[in-house]
Amino acid sequence: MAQQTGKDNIVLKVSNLRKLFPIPPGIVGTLLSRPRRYVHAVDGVSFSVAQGEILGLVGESGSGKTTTALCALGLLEPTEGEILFNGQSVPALAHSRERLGLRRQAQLIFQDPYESLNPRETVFATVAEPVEVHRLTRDKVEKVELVKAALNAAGLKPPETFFKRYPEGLSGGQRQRVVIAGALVLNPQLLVADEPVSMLDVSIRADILNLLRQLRDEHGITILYITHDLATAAHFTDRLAVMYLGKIVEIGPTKTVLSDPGHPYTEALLSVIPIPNPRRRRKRMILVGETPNPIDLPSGCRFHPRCPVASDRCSQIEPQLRSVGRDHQVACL
Amino acid sequence: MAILEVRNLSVNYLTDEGTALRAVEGVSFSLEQGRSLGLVGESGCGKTTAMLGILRLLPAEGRIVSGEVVYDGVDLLHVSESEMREYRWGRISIVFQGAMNALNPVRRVGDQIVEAIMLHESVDKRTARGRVDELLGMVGITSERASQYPHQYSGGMRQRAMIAMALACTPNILIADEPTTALDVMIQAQILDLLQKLQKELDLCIVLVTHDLGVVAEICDDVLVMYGGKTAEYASADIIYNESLHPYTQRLLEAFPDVENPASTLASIPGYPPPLDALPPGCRFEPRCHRRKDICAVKSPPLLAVNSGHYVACHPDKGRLNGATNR
Amino acid sequence: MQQLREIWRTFRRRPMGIVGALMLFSVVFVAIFAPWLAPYDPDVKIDIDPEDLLAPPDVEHLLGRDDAGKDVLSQLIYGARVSLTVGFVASFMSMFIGTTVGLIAGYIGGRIGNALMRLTDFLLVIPDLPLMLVIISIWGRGLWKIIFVIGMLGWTYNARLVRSQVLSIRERQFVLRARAIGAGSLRIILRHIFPQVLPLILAQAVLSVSGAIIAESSLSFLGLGDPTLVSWGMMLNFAFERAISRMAWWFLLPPGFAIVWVSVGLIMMGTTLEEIVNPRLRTHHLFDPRHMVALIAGVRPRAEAEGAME
Repeated sequence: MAQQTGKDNIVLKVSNLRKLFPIPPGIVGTLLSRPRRYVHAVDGVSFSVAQGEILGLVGESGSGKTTTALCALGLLEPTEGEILFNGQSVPALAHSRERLGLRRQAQLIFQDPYESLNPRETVFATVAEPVEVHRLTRDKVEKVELVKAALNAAGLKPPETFFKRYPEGLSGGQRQRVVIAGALVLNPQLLVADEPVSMLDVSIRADILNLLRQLRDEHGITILYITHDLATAAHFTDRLAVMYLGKIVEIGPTKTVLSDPGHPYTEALLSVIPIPNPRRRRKRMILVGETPNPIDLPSGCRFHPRCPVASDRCSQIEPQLRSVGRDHQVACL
Repeated sequence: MAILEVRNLSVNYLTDEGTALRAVEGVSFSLEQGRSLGLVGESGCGKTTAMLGILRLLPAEGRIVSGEVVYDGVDLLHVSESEMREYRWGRISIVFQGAMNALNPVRRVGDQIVEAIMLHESVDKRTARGRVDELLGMVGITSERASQYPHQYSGGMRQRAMIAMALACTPNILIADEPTTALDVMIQAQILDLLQKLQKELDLCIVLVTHDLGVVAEICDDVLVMYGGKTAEYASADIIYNESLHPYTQRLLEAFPDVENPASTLASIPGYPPPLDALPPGCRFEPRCHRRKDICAVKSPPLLAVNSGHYVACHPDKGRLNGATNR
Repeated sequence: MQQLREIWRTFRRRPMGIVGALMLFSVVFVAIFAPWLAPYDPDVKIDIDPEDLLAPPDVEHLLGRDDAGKDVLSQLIYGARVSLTVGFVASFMSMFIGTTVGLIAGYIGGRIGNALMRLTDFLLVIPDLPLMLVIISIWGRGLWKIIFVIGMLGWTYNARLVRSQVLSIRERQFVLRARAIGAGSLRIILRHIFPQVLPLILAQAVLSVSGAIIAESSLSFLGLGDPTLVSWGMMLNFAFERAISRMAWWFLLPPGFAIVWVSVGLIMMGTTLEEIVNPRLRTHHLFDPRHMVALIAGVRPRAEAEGAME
């Protein structure tokens, strides 16, 4: 698949994605023929990512962001909705012989650098595996060159010194770079990064994020950045989508969303980000309670039980995304 | 009035081959009644080890090599084990890193706290249960939840339950090791809020151990920055965040993403912390320091007192650090 | 490879395992060097006098003679070959089948997995020994038939074990990564999942050899062994029939003792291995918090003696 240039080229387009996980009813449920219950992990999510763009998907646990990412990559089957990668339907691709092509173009980086590497494989083996799976080359020398280039691009220099090492001897940051190298070796068009730095020390996060940024700047790789940390998203993304309980509640250019948040949840998230300066105090909107489980959803607006500015209408009507500015949409009444 | 004074604490780990890894070296601080301390540093810098050393909970390979830990006039490093057990949890308590996964999954949460109380105090079960309800209330968990199992609690609630357990015997000092890692940012805020509330209501001293400077800024009065097992800088939070002198502290602050001023690139600190079995002879931060001088690689910097209450372990530039005296 | 080395390092320090290994290897040694160790060749016909039958031990025949006048010690030594051969081969067979079934049922799941599991349950439920008896009686006796039957019926336990392990490994992030890269099921199973279950299989394998040896001995004891070969079970069979009335303990005890010896050795080895490879709670770079809480809740801390100054 040739890489198309141009900012207006939409690499990934998700429309009305819904992913429901059925809950097994158990004996009593089956006997009493109770209606099936579902975990509404993702419930009507739409967004698109343009070539070379970095879109941030921000949400806490239970928001459905990881599920969205897995569906977008075709690693999970959506219940409803359309996912287009470069114009082609992802679920269809995922089941066809074209599957490998999709996998090559869209790669995933995970959260836990301690779990995403096979502990029994050397760095070389791990980074070389995609080359073998996709049969990029049979030539041993060429394979070594590809791995070297990928390790270099991921910031592990000199690359040869890492070939024979095992994950357990590497730091968290290094492991994450190995994962990134493994993704880069295929020269993908889209990189989905699911909380790539949340398990790393603050002082190392910048390195990894700067690396990803560089990959976009120098190679035009499109990035879908998933996180619960608004602060890193602020520095890193072009556009931001805030998710809550399976829906997008706000989406727009990062600067706009942060300076002028339209949704109370976004405001609350912004207000509780720790500021590394005791002199700068601001009012923190600490929400009460936790995100409710996505099984028994609140009526109307999903956020209304915890919303500091909820009105009566909020418990009755579910708000849709509406435009509040240039390219800025908010789902609030 | 300082209720806890740690002087020159040094802890080693013995490897299989017999070499001693200097995990903590010469760390000192004092904890004042009603104030909280943030212990900040990268993973592996020795902050958790230092805390375990204070409580004498080191694993078998750990050795306290030197130092004094004076609580209320008594050096805890020299009391007997049975006496230490009184101090541990009764005066100084700890919530471990990852503690929210430490609850026994097959026993009810309330029962576990009751058991812990009864092991430490000679009270009957009824009193213990009453205390459990009280504790859970303090941390914001309704008392009906005491009869539930850990898997019915969310991550944030489990963390609160662990805090409740740690407070069961009304300690003066609570050590919280990475209490908010792995929690969502909103839950994080709730937990920090809770800690702040407890500090006020119970006149509790909190030692917050973390790698996250932002978390420390929220609730800590004093901050001790550790690097490579040693103190890099120690001062009040205000000074650390606004007038820090140690290059590591400064870089750490720069690496912190600031939502209100998103710069185009985040600063990071190049390189890695020194491996404990190959510590450099001079300053441990020197290989990564942006202000290093020749002397830094050769001689380990002493901990200098810049003003009263502000300590920095750095070789002074000419003209800077005026009036600095050796501690 | 690295993991196997680690397992060996831990194993080295467990006395029970070492003793078990030594017991096993002593038998293996005897079996391999049987022709040199056995004083007499059991196949060679010797002239015997009637008084040689069931003769008690003497200098020439350290364990006496059996009911046909042959040297018991030599038979014992050669019998090791049969028992060990059956043990290892049958065990290998059942481990292989069981592992394959477990891997497929665990990773692929779905209808195939269900079907495999139902088959496994079905065979698990049927008592092994009676079924073996029935099959051998119908099919006929012979060494390889015995090996086959034992192997074919012994895989079920392992299949279950492997499957449940695979179910949890399947969810680990590096497996997801392999899928994200585009690796196919076969590749993932062989390269990512199998190495993780290998330690478990190893421990199981050792234990299953013991099971196979006992199964063979039981079959032989019941008269269904290979009539052309001497095995310990068969010796017991003859001993029970003919030697008991004469209290010829030298014929009766040694084969039974030998079976016990090798089984105990294997079980000690296997149990030790099992302990070592038992997948424990993974806490990677964090301290184990459960241990810590136990410490605080009053259990004697490990650092007790070292808490004070050095």
